[in-house]
Amino acid sequence: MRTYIIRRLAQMVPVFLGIMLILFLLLQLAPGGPTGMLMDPRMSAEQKQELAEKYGENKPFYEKFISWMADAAKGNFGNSITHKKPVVEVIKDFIGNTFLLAIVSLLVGLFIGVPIGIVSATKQYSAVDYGTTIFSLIGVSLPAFFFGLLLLKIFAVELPWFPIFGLTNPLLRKADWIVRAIDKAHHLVLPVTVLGLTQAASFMRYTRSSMLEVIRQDYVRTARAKGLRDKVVIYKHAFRNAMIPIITLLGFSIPGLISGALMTETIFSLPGLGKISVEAVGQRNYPLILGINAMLSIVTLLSALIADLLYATADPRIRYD
Amino acid sequence: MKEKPILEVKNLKTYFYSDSGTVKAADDVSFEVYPEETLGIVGESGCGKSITCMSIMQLIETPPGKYEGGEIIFDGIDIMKASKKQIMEIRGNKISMIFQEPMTSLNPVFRVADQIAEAIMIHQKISKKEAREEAVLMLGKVGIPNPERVAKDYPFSLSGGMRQRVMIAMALACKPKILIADEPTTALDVTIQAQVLQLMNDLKKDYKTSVIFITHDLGVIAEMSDRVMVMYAGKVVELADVEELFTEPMHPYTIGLMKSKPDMKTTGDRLTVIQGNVPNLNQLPTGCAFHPRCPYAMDICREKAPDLRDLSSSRKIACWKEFQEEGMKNE
Amino acid sequence: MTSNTTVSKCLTGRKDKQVESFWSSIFKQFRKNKLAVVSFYVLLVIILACIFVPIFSPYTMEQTNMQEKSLPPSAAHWFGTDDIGRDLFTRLFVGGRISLGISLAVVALECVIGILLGTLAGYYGGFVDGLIMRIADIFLCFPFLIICITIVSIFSSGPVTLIVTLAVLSWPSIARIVRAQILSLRELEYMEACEALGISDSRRMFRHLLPNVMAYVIVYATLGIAGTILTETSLSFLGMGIRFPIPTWGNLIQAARNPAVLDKYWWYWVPSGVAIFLTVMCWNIIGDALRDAVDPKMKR
Repeated sequence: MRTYIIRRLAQMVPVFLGIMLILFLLLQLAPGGPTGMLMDPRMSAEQKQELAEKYGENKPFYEKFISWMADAAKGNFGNSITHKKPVVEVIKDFIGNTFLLAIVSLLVGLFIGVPIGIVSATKQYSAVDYGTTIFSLIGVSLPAFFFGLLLLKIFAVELPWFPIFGLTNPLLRKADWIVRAIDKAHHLVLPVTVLGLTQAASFMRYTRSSMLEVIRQDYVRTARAKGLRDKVVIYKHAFRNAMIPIITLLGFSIPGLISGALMTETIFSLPGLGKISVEAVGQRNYPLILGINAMLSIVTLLSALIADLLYATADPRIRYD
Repeated sequence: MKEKPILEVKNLKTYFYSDSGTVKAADDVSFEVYPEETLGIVGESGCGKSITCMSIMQLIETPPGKYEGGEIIFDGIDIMKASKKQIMEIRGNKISMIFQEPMTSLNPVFRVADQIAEAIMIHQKISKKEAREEAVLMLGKVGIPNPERVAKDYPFSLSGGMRQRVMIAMALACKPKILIADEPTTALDVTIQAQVLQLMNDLKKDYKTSVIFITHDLGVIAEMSDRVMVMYAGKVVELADVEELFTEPMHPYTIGLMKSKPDMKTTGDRLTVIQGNVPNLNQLPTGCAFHPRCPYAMDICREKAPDLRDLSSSRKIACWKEFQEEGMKNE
Repeated sequence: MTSNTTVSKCLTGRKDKQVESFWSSIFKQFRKNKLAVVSFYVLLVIILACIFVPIFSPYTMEQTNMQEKSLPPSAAHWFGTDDIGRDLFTRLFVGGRISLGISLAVVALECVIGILLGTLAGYYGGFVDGLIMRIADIFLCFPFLIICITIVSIFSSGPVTLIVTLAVLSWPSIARIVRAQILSLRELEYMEACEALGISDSRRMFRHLLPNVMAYVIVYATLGIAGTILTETSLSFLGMGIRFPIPTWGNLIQAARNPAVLDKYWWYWVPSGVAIFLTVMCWNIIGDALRDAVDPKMKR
């Protein structure tokens, strides 16, 4: 197990460096270069030269990369041009909302998708199975932004049950924490419905196909031949094995989850990373946008590692390798 | 041997339905199993021997399979009509089964001892700890060296032979009345095969268990069985004591099987093969399913399938030629 | 495909009857899936409409008419008009041309890159494999949507930038599939037969291994088109793909981000949403059916 973790960590290092290198290249390629934003068209050529000197623009490429990496390692991605604050501070302000949305939706997706996927697989060709298949097909085919707008149109415009945008009601700023929590939950219902159901649809598909694969295995027949009840056979013997590929999928689905969260935020105007990155791109705020990219890549890399560890816990063949 | 049978299968019909037609995998199969005997079932792959045994355990997937009729009498109850609860009490407890593929028959994510203990726990009201101790004991009995340590292993670290021993330990843990062994040694090396067969014979005597032994290997059948049932295309074609069958096979298919088996006498000669191929089970020929391959086929064989009739107290056959020679009428 | 057919193919170096029957059996399996056949025709209608509606429509996509602005659907304007009086029926299918065209181009390019790198990795193994797969890992770690809008904003947002960006970001999945297939095929006897016959590396790779992998690539590409349509429309919904005044299915829906439009003018955005949904679902159903046909093991 320990060698497995060490090997995985060692594999992550070049990947991490690669991500940072590509982001650095993008920063260099951005119009005007990394300091372009700081320059004022009214500055003289000398002043520009001075500024470039100050920010190390004239150093050789590898030196620039190393010093950028060193700064990044210290959590310094430079200043966000529009917020007049360090990039890290800006990200810190907004990342919580994005994670809240992503994690709640992921849990909703898992708790709906996995059990229904299991039932659908064990009752193959039944009405439940057809219903599940159709639902999950719709779920993976419906664009999140369109789904979100439909929900807004129906449940916020036509039937004013839910707020149209935002995460909090400004009038309740001074209310009890419990009132504020309920308010937040109320604001999150539609966004979580959009992202959670999309996630549920793909978990349903994968759980169903993984279970179908497993329940035809010889060891499931052995479990039935022992005289175990169907529930034990399915939930203990079969699901314990079907879980393994689902965990792998979980690791792979994190980037999709984050993209989904960003999209959902934009539709419902939630103050999160999605909203500020779209703004940052519009304002050509490159330090911020690259900081967000670096941040989210690292989150993805770490969640892949966690998925790997869970995978190793679930599958003894890996644990003892 | 004429005591009361402990298992009676009467006119069992298990069919499979698919887009490409109906497969009569077990068609009107009848036989008995007597206490402490070993009944061998032999036939080419796809002849219905596994389906017959899976039907006894009620392990057929329905759909696509369907039990179309017949009775399976065990312990005074008809398994075909038994409640789910009754079947659960029989499976793994009074009748248990081991399978062809030891490599894939154990659950890869559970420890060996836990898998055996689980079978003991559900059928005997004992604690988890006692069940585990019992499991270790069973591992010792099936000849696994260092059972204490192996008990904590996962199946992937065991060899095929070891895994099949674990399967046997699991199957015998509840001291069943009948053990069904579906080609238990086919996937093993020859030397391991001999050891496992020896083990099964020893344990069978210790536990006074009846065994239904499925194989396509006539050598194994001769070594293991008291009586032999030959199946072809979902039907029983011949049933006899093992000595009788080997010294005087009667059904043309059995004769063909015997001839195609290499032995010391045939050295140098070409092995005889049965002409033609196993028929496609959803497009069986009319009449006797074997007639297109049978050197003795007569007109009646093409028109009407022979039923299984008693030749003597210990011998049954389904063949028009034999019926004629024995002076039996066609009805 | 059984190793027998591939052995004979390897030895003769041409398609024989058995290989053709592999493809025709896929076709036969596919035709059995009624839903997939229906999806195929629905998709055909959508594609033909995207091609012909803009040609035969009495309106053009840019033609404005302030007398006829924001009209609900009628006989003259089947899907109504927008806030400057453009015919939305025409714009919908022009948008379809762009969204479908870009997605097809992305998947084609992605397949080329993925097949090439996947084959190299699977065939050579070792260092080459490690390098290519680590690069694939890098691309898989980026937050897809954000890196897309970042790149598009840095390199300006033309269709070429968009196609290249999306393809460069999505090749790793296909490379992994190809690599896995090659790895398992390489072990089969017929490759040894090829080696024994002294067939060169590149010939072995492209003539003998790739055809075996193509079926999986086609399945993946079909499902990939569905995914790419969703990505492309998401980007243009965010205003990061193809921009106004050229319509795409994504930027047509963007109109609904205006609360007034969301409140009153449903015909601005609902038809393109439905169009995306139907098209993506058809590709998904067809892809699923192809996968079941190619790999019956995965059906059930």
